[in-house]
Amino acid sequence: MRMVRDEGNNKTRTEDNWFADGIGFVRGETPEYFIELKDFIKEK
Amino acid sequence: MKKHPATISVMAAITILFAFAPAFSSDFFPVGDGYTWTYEGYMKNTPQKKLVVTASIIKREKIAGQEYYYYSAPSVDVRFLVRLDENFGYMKVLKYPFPVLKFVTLDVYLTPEIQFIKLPYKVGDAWEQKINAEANLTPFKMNQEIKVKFTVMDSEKFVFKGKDTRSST
Repeated sequence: MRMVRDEGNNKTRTEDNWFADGIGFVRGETPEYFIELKDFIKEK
Repeated sequence: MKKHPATISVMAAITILFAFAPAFSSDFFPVGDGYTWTYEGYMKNTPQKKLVVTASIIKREKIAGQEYYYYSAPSVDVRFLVRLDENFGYMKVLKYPFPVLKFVTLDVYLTPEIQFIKLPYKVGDAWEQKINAEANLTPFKMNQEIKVKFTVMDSEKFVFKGKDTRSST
């Protein structure tokens, strides 16, 4: 999912976030960082 | 007027049902007490340095009658409250450590809630919102209008622990 945020002053910021079936947020990329899921634990 | 015992039983059953019914949870954004996700990545200005981020649902909080899950990733100062219904995932509050006094949290309230994921989640969906973000720093209040556009762009396979799963961006 791509999120484009209008920050005013003709500036926008774009974030790409991936959500996977049964897991949730699995990958994120912005101009500043890249992260990807390595583990998911449902138990407390 | 006295209520019939059967009426009382039905009312009690409904009360118990709602008290113990699981909260709505989307396949694409599962939420539950204690759920923990661990990520690896990097900052683009220091790509050689590995970044490890752990995010957990640490508790629930009620605001204006709605119950939210408190999603916390303290190593990157990310904390927010989310809830789901059958139409959207909603984000209501962002929590930031207060500058200098890091043990104090600054809450930023979003009105209306940001609809950060549309359900059922499918490629091609797009939606826009205007949000007011308000931080209360007594005696000051700060407000900012935010415009956001969300688009579910594409679908691909994501391999997790050796298994393919469907993911969308």
